[in-house]
Amino acid sequence: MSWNGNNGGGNNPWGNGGGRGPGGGNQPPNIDEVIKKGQEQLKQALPGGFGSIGLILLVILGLWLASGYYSVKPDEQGVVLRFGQYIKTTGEGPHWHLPYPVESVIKVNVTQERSNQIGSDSNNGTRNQRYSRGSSLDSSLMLTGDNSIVDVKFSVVWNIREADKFLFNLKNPEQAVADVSKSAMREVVGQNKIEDIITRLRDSIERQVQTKVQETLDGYASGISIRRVQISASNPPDEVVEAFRDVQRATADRERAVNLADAYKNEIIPQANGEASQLTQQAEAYKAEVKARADGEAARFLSVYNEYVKAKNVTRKRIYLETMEEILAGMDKIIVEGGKNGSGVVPYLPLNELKKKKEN
Amino acid sequence: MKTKSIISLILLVVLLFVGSASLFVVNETQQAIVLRLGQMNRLEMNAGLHFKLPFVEEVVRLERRMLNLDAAETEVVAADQNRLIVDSFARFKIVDPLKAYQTARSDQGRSALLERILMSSLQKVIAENTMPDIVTNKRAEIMDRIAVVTNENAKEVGLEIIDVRLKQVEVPTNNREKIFQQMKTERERIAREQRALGQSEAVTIRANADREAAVIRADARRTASITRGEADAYAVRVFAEAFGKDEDFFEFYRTMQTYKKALGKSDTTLVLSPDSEFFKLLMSGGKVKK
Repeated sequence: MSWNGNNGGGNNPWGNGGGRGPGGGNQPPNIDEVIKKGQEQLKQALPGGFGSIGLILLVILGLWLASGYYSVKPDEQGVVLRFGQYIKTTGEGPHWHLPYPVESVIKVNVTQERSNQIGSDSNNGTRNQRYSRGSSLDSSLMLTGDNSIVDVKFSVVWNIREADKFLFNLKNPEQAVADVSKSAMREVVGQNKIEDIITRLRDSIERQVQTKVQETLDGYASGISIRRVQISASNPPDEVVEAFRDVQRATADRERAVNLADAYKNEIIPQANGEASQLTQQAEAYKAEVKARADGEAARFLSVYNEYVKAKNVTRKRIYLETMEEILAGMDKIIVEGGKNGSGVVPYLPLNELKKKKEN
Repeated sequence: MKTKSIISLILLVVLLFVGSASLFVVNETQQAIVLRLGQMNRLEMNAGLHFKLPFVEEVVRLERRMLNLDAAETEVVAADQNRLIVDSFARFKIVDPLKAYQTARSDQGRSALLERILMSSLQKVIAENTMPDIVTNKRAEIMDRIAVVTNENAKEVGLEIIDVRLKQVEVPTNNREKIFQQMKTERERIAREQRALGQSEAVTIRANADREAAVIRADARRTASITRGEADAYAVRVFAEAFGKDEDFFEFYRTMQTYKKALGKSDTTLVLSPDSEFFKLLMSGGKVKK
């Protein structure tokens, strides 16, 4: 990884430090004209034989001074060194430094986000191997606070905040980020329970790790800013994942049992309410009916009675006769003359026959 | 004229050569020891351009930045006899370049030296603590302690420990199985508990529902009975009021109605005696008066 995209240099910024600065190709296009004009002016100012050698020296001097020109892009910081000693950091825009070999500049990209994947399969082969010596440990398995093991894969995203600190205070800062992140993640995971780590505490763990890593790197004066820590996966290890899934299923089972019971409740309560309302309505109907009938019959009786009062005997006889008429009209009648109280008749009553007749 | 300029040119070249041999640059990332004829003469700690006597003095440059020591994994025994595999790293600086240069000439040599020091202090500190403390409770404290112990010995070789961190603290593979087993049983317990809780909650909900339904029905029945009772009472009162006006007539009237309802059908056979009250006109030939 190079410190800035433009130079593509190796890990040592001084390896080709002298070669920096714009070459001929970077010069402004009108420089030839300027030189020509200068030559003419010089010729006028310095008449005589001095001429050509002085002119060549002047041109060389001019080119040498121009080689100190450099420009810093918006996403970069330029770190100026004088004989290897740090002088200043320059921001965006065109700048000039004393030309080689006095001063040189290192440009560092400070906005680019760099990321370290930790415990991720895709990078195990390259990045992690470089940093840990043939680790026999699975780098993403961690001990938790409740003596369990959890599998956490995460990445750390960072950028350079202060280019000079980044360059001068830490050898191999990238490795520092990876190592410190690993350590911090394990520290935080070690303080929590596995269930919380794989469920509700992810955000909080990310934030805690970020703070810890930042603090440690600040302690190194590394000039690095941790943008964020992202947990890409936090799972129980493969060996026990089935047991964890069964807990999920059990939770689902519990919910389903409760839901079924609720459904039952929602079914029988309205049913009972319906029956209840039927019962009360029936009672109300009975009440209305009974009342109406009572009122009606009472009124009927009273009507009849009022008439009866006017002519008691006649009415009584009339009612009696009308009733008899109605009754006797529809009945089989047997009239038997007998002794007193009809005692003579009784022995001859063919009750069995009468009954049979009824059955037919 | 020509020879003069050639001589001056040679002089210039010689001067440049001697001048460049008497100057040296120390980078911002370096510190330098100046040796005169192999003997330590002075330190140049600051970056920049420095002078030296040409040909007699030589410059040894050492790293001034913070360095990393990625220590090898090591198996240690905690105070509670738990075995742990610890992967650690240290950050250090060369604070006494001369001592550092004397004890080990190369970076690798220094790292190896420091690693031995780190390992022994790591073993010592870990052995004083229990596994839960190392993993959970006192991790930061333990890391600081290891750094302090390491630093005591590192000073003697011109190095200063900035910090020591435990990158990974894990149990050996065979102990891991035990943890997995324990995790599994723990999950099984939770799963069972969840299912049992589900059952008990469901039963409770059903029982509550049944009770509620029964109460609703019973309440309705009570209300219905009260209503019916009210109706009956009303009827009784109304009838009593109406019929009470003339009990004798009521009896007669009501009896007649009952006859109509009860007797007026063709399947009834009536056996009558001609001397009954009803026939007193029938046999008397129309004479009403006795």
